[in-house]
Amino acid sequence: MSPAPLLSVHDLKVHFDIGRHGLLGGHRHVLKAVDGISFDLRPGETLGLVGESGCGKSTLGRAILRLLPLRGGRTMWLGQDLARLDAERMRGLRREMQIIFQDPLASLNPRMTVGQIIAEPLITHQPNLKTAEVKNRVKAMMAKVGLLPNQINRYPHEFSGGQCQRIGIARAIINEPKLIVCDEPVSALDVSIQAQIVNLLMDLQAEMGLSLIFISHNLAVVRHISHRVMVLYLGKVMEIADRDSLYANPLHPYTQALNSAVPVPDPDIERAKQRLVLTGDLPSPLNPPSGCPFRTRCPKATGICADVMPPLESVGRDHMVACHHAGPISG
Amino acid sequence: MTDVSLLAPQAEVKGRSLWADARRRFLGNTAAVVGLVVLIAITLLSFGQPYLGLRDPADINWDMISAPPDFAQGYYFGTDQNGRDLFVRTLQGGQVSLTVGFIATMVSLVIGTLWGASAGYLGGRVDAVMMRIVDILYSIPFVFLVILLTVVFGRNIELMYLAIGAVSWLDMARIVRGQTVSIRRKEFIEAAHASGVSNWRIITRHIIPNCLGPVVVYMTLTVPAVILTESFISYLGMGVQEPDSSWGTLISEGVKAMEVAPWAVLYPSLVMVVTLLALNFVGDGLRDALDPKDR
Repeated sequence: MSPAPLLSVHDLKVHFDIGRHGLLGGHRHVLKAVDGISFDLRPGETLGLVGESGCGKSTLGRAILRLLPLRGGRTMWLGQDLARLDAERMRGLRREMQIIFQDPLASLNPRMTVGQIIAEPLITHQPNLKTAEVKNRVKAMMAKVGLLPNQINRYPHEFSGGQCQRIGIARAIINEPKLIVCDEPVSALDVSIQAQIVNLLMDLQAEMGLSLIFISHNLAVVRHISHRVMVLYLGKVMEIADRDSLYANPLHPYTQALNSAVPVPDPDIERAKQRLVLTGDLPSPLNPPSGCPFRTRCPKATGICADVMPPLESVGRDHMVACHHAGPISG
Repeated sequence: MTDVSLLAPQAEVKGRSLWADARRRFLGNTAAVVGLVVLIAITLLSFGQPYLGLRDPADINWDMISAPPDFAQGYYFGTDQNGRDLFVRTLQGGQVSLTVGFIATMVSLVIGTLWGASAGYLGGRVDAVMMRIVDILYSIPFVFLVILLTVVFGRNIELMYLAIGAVSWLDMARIVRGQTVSIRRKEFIEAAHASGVSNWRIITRHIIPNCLGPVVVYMTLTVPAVILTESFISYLGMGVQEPDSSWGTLISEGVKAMEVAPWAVLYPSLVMVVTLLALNFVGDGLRDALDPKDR
């Protein structure tokens, strides 16, 4: 069947301690940003992560790369437990996993030239490389991501947002990694630039066999780039499925609501469309609801939802959903 | 998409760095440029004093004891109560005062920046311990420390350099730590970390260059402060020994003879004031140049 997973995440937990109030015996708040997430990522696959702001998408992306401390669970990289690696081995492995950030300009050191920025991962992992060789590789990378190689000595503030994101991509791919976590790489860009960047990522993926974890709250973009999509809500997986079945046949009421909120570029369909409007706000992750976290806003919620968190269950080929009342949209 | 390879052979475009921008703004600031020129002139004169063919600072002219300035004979600042040329002695004193300023600057630049950046970046316990060390050193009264050192090791100019160096980096460490804490969560630091760049390289290549604005400005404030400190220590009689001089000793001697020979206090003070003013102008210029949004 499918090849061995590149990355296998099991019951991953990231909790943040939010200070104590009061001097002695004060109540300690724990924010469960990511709470028990499991999934596999296959080589060459794109996994889309969607969800509202504050649902733990970015935290999950950073935790996978061990940029944040884990509270529990395991991340297996080609069979190795990342959490058990010592700092030196981990630094070596970082060559194979990279990240692209939301704010393209903030992710580039303003005091370094583009050439220095792109070369940094290369020099870090191959310190013996000759200067001329580094320069050639950097220029090749710049050409590959659609930048003019003769601008190698320019500084980040001299580029537009889309170009800065290309610089970030060039930096991420110069060591030919196996995985790139894309943390909302297009949400800070204009729509026309978004398409260019997404297509660039897809081209690079096809060329280099990259696996991508693509974090976004833009369902249309995720649909375009992903092979599989995972829907998060308050640090928990609601539904994970391959793209076509998730968009055509969403089984979780939250996915259905998200899906119905995507505007369709056809006024007739848009007007005729039945909208599932969620009421209320995202509950505070400091004090999540009992049972299913979505029950406070769920149109289908019943008594059991308040008592038991529904397990993530397989409901079809490559389709898992965590809901007591999973099923297609009914009238 | 355009074929990039067609454009590749073009000459590389030179980027205009933030530093180049700052230099351009600095050179556009007249007061700062004048200050810089004055500063360079005073430094060159002070350290060039033995080679300028002037009188020896220890030469005594018995005919001119506490004499007012006399341009015909080349006593531009007059003489002190021992008949020595005050102009030459002021230049000689500049050597000590400017050296103190330079040493303090270097110490605060090297130790202060690295200390502060390491504490701020590493955070947690390391940060707490490192900054408590700074607090402890800070709480030792400086004059008391100098007096103690003088009592134990005798009067020694190197000792004064050491004492001033030991305390001058504390402020810098705090400033840099504050800056570091504010930038260490920036995405480019995280990107470097995610690429596997070592902590040392993150501190030296990413954090310190981005703290350098406030550092440079604070440096220009450190120099006048330590020159004044040295003058103060020498004024108390614990710094420079005769026949050497510093601006502090000259002023302190001049004050004693103020009623009969006001020039003996006036001119050395004037040179020091001009130097400090020049430094402050340079500092203002640097601040404006590096932080244009604060103008």
